[in-house]
Amino acid sequence: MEILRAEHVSYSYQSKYQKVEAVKDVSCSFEQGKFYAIVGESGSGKSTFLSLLAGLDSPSEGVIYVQGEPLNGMDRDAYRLNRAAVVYQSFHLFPLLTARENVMLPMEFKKISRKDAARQAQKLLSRVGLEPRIGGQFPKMMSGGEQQRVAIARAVASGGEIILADEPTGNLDSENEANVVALLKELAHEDGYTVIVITHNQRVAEETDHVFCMKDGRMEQAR
Amino acid sequence: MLLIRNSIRQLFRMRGRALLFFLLLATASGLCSLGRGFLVINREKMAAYEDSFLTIGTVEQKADKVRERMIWDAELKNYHIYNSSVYDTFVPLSALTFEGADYLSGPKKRGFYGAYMPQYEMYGIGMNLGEVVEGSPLEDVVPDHPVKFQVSRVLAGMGTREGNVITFCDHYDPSPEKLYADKTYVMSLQYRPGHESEKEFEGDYVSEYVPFPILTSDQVDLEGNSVPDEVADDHFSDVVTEGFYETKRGKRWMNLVESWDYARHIFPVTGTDDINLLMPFYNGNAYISGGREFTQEEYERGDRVCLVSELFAQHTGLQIGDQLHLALQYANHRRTPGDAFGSNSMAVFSLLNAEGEIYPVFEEADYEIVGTYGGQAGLKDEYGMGYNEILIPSSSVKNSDADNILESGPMTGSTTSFRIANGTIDEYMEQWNKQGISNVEITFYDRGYSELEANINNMKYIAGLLIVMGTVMVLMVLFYFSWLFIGKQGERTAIERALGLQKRQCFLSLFSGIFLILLVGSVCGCTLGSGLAGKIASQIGEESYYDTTFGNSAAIDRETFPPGETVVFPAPMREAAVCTLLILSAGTGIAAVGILKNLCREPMQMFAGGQEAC
Repeated sequence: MEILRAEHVSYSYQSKYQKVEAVKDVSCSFEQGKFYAIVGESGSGKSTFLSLLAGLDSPSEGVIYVQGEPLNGMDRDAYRLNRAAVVYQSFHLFPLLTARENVMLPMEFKKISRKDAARQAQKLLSRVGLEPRIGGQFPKMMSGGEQQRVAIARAVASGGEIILADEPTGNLDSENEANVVALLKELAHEDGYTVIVITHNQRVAEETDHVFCMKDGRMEQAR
Repeated sequence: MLLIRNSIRQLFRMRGRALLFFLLLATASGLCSLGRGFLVINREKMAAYEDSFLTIGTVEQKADKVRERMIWDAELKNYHIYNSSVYDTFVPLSALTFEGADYLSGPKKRGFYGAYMPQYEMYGIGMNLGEVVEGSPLEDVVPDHPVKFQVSRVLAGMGTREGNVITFCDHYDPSPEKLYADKTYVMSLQYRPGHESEKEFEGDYVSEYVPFPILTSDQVDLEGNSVPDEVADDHFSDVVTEGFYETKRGKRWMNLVESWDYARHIFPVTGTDDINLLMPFYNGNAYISGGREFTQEEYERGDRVCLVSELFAQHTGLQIGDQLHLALQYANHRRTPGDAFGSNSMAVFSLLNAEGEIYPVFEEADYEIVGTYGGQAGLKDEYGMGYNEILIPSSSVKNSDADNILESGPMTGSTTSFRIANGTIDEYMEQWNKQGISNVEITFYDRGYSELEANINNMKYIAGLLIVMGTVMVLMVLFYFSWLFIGKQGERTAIERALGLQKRQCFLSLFSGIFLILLVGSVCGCTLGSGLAGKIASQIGEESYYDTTFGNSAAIDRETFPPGETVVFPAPMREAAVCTLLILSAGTGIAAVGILKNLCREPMQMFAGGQEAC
């Protein structure tokens, strides 16, 4: 089932010196329960495109549909809160909250009680392979792999159906990389999430069901 | 609540920074509040001083020259030489009315009135009124030494009796007229120090009487010129012959005898525009002890109200609210009651006008006693209160006293004064000096207001400095911590946005923790600052109010600053609240600008670290 579709999406912005066309006329679609990779060189526009899919900004041209509904017409904050979660290369955890509190936060935003959120968060942390003691630790005390797992647990905690990951393994060693990729793959294939990762790591791309390639802002399906 | 809780939780996990923010903000707020508190307390102090400190000026005309006055002393057979001041003319009161002279009351040349009240007798003061007697010397004699004189009739006075032989000497006349034993003389005499060595006259203690020349009127006009007395000269005696008392001169003697009784029942009455212009009240020797002072309206309307001394009220049984009938008989434009009725012995004036009649009453009315005053009379001081002195609003006397003036004199410090606003002495003197009147001297009394004003101005300067320092520090703290807690929290806002929080929720998330510290810090700082300001001001107040180095007397408003009680200035908590609100507003504004600056960028830009302006 198609869950996300981009139709002729372009995005440009005015930098200090010139107008930059980051995404040019991109059309593609993503289905539920699939694991996607978007590859490309640095500056090819893949991260920008992912942000557009996450509703963090609006396309200059074209439309992104979420289950047939244009994202432009939706409450983009509610979209991110309920349907699409983002995982970043640099994790972007709240440094002053513990791992558990970071995971609890999206649930609490959705009015889930603190007690239930804490219980769920602990389960999710176990699910992503973290020991219970990690739950009480602050991000600074964790390794990169552990932080990324917490970020993935937080994405799952939001309860949406789309996980958008921007270079999720970019800061990880090969062992952690494999673990994170396996986790994302599991979320797609077993839990039915649509997982889209941005990567320029061939090994990661090979683990996905479909690979899109971006070059100079344009998209082409590689596999 | 979740957002607020999270915000506070995150802030408190930066304990060091949060604590530093709190401490610096509290200190800065404290400085602001302390400064503002000082400023307000100083303002209140000044207001209190305005009520309790008074600046009055007294006016004294300097004599144009000094003349030697020679008085014969029969015992020494020589003259005593005294210096007396001579005034070519009296400088009129109007000389004090000039451009730039802004009086709160006065200028006023007071003097006093004599009110005849036969139902009451002067109390508390000695009355050496003397005698009017008829009699003859025991032998023909020139009384240039103590001589024996037999009293055949006492017309007035209580010092001697009919048949008594008294000692008499025309002590002050170098060539007295001869007295004859076969003639009867009427004389006004007074016991005075005369031949001290001859008190033991022929073995017995005998008082010596000397002439008391009050048969002659001292009446003067408004300009101070003597009104000619066609009947009497300075003579103190006359030969009594058949029908003498039917003559003009004889009638004058009878009027003098009648006035003797008046003298015991005449009370000094002072009309004033402001009781603080009376030095005893100004310097605290006199004070309202019961009832109330006159109101401004009573002064202006000239209401028939009066203040009496406690002693007078006690002696007469009069109470506040009672009516006192005042029949004003004469006006004395030269002396104050303190001078005439302030010593142990009352001054005695001739109560006869130039026509030889007892001064007729020129103003008569019932006055309501609205208050009593306490204080010591009998200080033998022209600046003191007179015994049984009665105070009335000067404008309550409606009729002219022009025909009833028994003495006149120049403006003196005790009779002429005015009141100006505190702190305006220099301005006044600058204008006065331009008038070019060199024979009038003005002396100011301000109870040390000038020194206090200088101190207060110093405190104002310190308060200003504290406010500036505090404000600068508050702004620096606010900007620095705004940058630390907000400017550097762009990523946090971006994560929250990415997690689906709306902008207003992100605002609340970031702002609530900061606001809490702002609130607690500013409330603590401002409260402590104001409390400290009150405490310091009270300590300074305690030292200064009762430290006589600040004033020329301890005469401070007894209601505002009761003696023996610590002057406590309450901490200006309203100002603390104002200060807190101002700091909160500034902090909120600065924080809001920082947060909105974060929020106006899309999360994507924020993650990318873009700094483009919104």
